[in-house]
Amino acid sequence: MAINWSEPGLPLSGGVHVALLVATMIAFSSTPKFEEMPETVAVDVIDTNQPAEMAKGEKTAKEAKPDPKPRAERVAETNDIKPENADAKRDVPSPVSRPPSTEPEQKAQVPPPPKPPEQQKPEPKKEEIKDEALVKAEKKPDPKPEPPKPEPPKPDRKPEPPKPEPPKFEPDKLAKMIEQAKPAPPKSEATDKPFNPNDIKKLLESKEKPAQAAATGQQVNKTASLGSATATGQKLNPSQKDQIGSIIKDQLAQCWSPPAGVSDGASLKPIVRVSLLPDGTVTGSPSIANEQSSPAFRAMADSALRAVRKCSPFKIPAQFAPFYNDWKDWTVTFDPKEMLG
Amino acid sequence: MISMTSPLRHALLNLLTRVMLGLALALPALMPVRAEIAITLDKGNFQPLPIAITDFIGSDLGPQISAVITNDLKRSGIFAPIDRAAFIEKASSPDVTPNFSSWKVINAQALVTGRVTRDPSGRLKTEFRLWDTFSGQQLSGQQYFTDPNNWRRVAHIIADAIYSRLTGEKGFFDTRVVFVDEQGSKDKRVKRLAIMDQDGANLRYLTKGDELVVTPRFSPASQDIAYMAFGGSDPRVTMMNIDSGQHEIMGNFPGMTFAPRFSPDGQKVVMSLAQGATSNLYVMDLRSHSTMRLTDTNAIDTSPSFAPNGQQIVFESDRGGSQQIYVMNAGGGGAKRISFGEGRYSTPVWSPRGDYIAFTKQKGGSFSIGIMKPDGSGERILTEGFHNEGPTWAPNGRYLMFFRDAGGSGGPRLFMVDITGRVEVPVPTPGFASDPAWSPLLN
Repeated sequence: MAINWSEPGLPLSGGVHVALLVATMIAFSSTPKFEEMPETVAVDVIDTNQPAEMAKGEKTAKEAKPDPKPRAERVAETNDIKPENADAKRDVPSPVSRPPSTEPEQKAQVPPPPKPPEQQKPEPKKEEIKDEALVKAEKKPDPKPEPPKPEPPKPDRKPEPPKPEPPKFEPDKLAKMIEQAKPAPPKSEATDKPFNPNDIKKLLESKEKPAQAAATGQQVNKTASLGSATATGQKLNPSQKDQIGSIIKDQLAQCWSPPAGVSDGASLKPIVRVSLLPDGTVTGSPSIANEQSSPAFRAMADSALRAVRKCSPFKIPAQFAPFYNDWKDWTVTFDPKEMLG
Repeated sequence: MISMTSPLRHALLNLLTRVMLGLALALPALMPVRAEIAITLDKGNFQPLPIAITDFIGSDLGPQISAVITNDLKRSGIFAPIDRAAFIEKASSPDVTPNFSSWKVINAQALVTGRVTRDPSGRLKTEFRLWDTFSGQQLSGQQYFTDPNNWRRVAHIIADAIYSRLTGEKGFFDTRVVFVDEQGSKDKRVKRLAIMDQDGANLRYLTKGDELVVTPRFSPASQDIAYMAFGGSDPRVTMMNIDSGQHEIMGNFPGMTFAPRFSPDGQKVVMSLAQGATSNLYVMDLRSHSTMRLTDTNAIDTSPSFAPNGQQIVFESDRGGSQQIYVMNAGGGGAKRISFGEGRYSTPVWSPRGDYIAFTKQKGGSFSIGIMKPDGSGERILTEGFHNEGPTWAPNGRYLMFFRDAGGSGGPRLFMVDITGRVEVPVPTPGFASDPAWSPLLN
């Protein structure tokens, strides 16, 4: 194919393209290199513990403190075990006569036991099963000193194997001493028995754990078995936090009816502190964190408090239940700006 | 110089370091110990507050007073008084803390109890208490002594106290309204000035209907009204004392005067004077009767209204070609147009609260009532229709009254609307009514 120089289009075009290519290659190859610099990478510095904390519980969590009112651990059939059909563990009513001594204020209601001797006599056999663990398990002592049900044979059968046995003593005397010692301590010392009420108190407050007997409790301990109520729990990650935040917001928005058309309403932003129970119920009394005295603020703050109360209980999806400690406390800023003209 | 600044810099750095250190130490102490989730709620759901108003005990007047309070609160649109039939407990003494659980059951968030008795001198003693049913606390409690004939006013005052405690705003129930009562067929309408309580009670006529009257305006400081009367040759602004019925023509102007309005202190009246095809604004001092000209144009300037601080006047003018709203200094001068929407704007009225100017807007054959901020921003139409006109503010700046003519063979009626536009209720009048003027709060 001869090149027709009178129509130089094709060769010219080809030539120019080749020239351009070559030129760019040269141009690019001669481009000065970037100065060598360490490449920056955005890094969030976090503690090594943090990822672990997000996943696990807090390692620094305080040790579980024995509750003043110890609740039973979660053990399957708590509610199934009723005193009626209970055997060994259950039918030991002896603590009934004792608990009043642990709580002095209840003492007042206790009519002076009129006939301690006869009533207590059937009981002596129970002495070996006197176990502070049981005492604790029977958390809510009936203040009325109802006469212990005479079920003498049962205590004998009681087989509880590994229970640490406290110093033995005779319950009738103990009872007597409690009754006497509390109102009039000096008298107790007058008794010739080797027991003194302080020992009893110590006994009752024994550090020993409720152990298995706790399973008989009516109320199940709601906190995890590790850590205390204030220091355990998995942490919500930020997106979960947003999620539960918007869940609460959506519900509150339905409940909040701010006083409309208030002058300067937009500048009134009450901040409410709210604490929730695991079931979403508002607990305690929600409070205003930024109290002001103007009538307009007061009315706005009242409307915010009404909204919180009206919304209780909040509906919290079950998936957040394990994170309760992370969402039980809230501060809600009520901002009417968008709604007032 | 550098050697001079160096020690200074050093000292500053030192100080800065200390401050930072201090902050770092103090910060943990300032931070809440509890882990809290903080959220901001910027949405709500406007709902009238359910309130239970029990019949006041102690007198036959008790239930009547409760009924007036209930009606007032209901008309405000902010409250939803609960039907008495739903009450689990009936009236109870204001001396006794109510059993809140039985009010919570019917969802009452607030509760009113009260008692009416007569003291030895025959005066009426009315007590009430307002309770928050959820917190179980008393929010307000008052007692009033008055002549038994004033029982309606006591009811309005109590309604104001409740409204005020729960909204943080002043009330507006203890007020009156002057308006033009219209009777008779359309071509033979008799127009009389009338006055009534804001809820329509205690109606009284102020003129006989022998002359045409329009645009009555309340003095914010006295029992006087100013209005335009077509009595003699020229229509004139006339002033009347409501109690005595005495009236006088204001000023000695060479022409028709109209559109009067009082200054916030009640000492002056600003109005329009028509001369030929133009009209200008004048202000007249009520004590010295001296007058001062405020505008000097070849246009129609009218409907002046003072700002509540007395420093500015809003008015309508067609100086720019069409009716628009302007704001100027109270002494005249410095006029600035503030309305820029489509259509024509007229009858501007400055809110007693100062934050809004209400107006009538004509656009495409309909008349609307709206509000805008004094700088012209934030325009909001509250009601729109065939003919809505003549807005007048409640003394708390939260509600407006106006008249509406649906067209056809009927006539105008009065309505009340709140500045959010959510609440609109008719105002009861014996017949057709127009040109309402809301009084200040009675004292």
